[in-house]
Amino acid sequence: MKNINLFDQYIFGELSAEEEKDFISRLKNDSELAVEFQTYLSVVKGVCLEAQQDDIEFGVAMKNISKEELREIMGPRLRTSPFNNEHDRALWVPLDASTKADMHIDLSGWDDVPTEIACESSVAEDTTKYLASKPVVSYAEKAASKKTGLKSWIWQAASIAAVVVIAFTVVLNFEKRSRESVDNVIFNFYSNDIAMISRGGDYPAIETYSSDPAKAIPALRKSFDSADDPQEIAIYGQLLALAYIKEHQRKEAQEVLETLINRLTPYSPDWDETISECQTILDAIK
Amino acid sequence: MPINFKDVTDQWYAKMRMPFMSSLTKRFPNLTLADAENIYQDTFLAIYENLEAGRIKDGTSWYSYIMTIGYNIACKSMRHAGITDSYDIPVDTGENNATLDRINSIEKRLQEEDLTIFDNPQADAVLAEELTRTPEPCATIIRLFYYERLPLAEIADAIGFNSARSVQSRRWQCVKNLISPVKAALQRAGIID
Repeated sequence: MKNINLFDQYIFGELSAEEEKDFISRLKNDSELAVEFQTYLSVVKGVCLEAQQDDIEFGVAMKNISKEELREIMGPRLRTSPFNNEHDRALWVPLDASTKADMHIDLSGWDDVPTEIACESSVAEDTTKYLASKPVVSYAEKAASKKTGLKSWIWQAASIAAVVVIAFTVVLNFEKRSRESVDNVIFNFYSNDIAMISRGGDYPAIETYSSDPAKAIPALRKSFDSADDPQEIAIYGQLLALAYIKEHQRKEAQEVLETLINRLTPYSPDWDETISECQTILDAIK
Repeated sequence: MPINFKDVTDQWYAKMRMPFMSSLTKRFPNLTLADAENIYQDTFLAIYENLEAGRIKDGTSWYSYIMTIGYNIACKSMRHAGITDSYDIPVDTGENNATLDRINSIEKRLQEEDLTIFDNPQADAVLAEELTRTPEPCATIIRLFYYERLPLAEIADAIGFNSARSVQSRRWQCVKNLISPVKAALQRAGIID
């Protein structure tokens, strides 16, 4: 830092003749300092040449663009307000970055503006916030954003569609789980009763049913179809329906229960209670 | 590669906005940000018209010119004096050329004293490569200090620093950070030991 300060003084001609002589003498005797100084000199010269080149390019560019192109680069004018309005300066509404720079609410004439909104902040603070809120988008970026407009629209549509699909899946999944819960409740509620009723009889399929209802379905179906006794029709029919319910095959269970009701109806009123029970299960799973 | 005039103008418009707005609102505390933004646009339009009318010399330092035109427009607006047809920069100091002239004379003296350590196109290429990597705000600070010869207080206003002292310490750091990699690159290239 000390050397940089000395180098600065030297290149800006701020050293006295004596100091300058001393500096040159040091450069001759201290090779490290000499290398450092020449590197510094090259850097400063490079910066200045680059800046000069930028100046030339800007002058040429401004001479060669049209006024319309310049206006396009600058963008639309902001709404102005009278000068010397001190409230005006601080009242920039913090909206999202794309809009807040262009939204200006003049609350200077309002009496009910909260102090925390209407209070003045420092100019530097305002300017920094404002400049940060409205970064200048280069022409190339503006052009690129136009090109990607359609792309972003597609992304938005895809996002909305994805949200809808997810919501739909969640609802369907919830409904499926609810139906399965109802099935399990029905199965547990009636299974024991029917097993109790059937105990003591010669019902080979029931043993299989007790261990695994799904495996008992073919045997139960066969027994139910071939049964001609109302007791057998009722027991095999209900067990078959419950086995289907356990497997969440409601359509099949429904068909079995309807058949069961039809086949037991001729034995009414003795089997009215069973018919009513089947009807209740049927209503629950429909 | 041919210059894309619109891109160059666009880059300048974006680059100058921050220092312009910061300096203007600091100098004119009653100016609204919307007005400052519009003055910035008016400044570029005025420059365009002045260039068209041939009122601007070649080799003008655009930073100083843009700032001065901006101050003039702001002053006139604040006085409610209305907008005139053109805004001319009052004094062209030519300070930036003075820095380059001074460096050239120093280089000449170093040659005379046989103190030149490196002077070849390869060193220039290494330097140019390193300069393009200078991050902000260092690039702006170094440019405003060495090329534009702005006082530290004005640089502080332009880049939003609180004081000249913070700019000074940051500048030292920036120059140091720029010299070190340049020196290392020159050593790697075998230009210096």
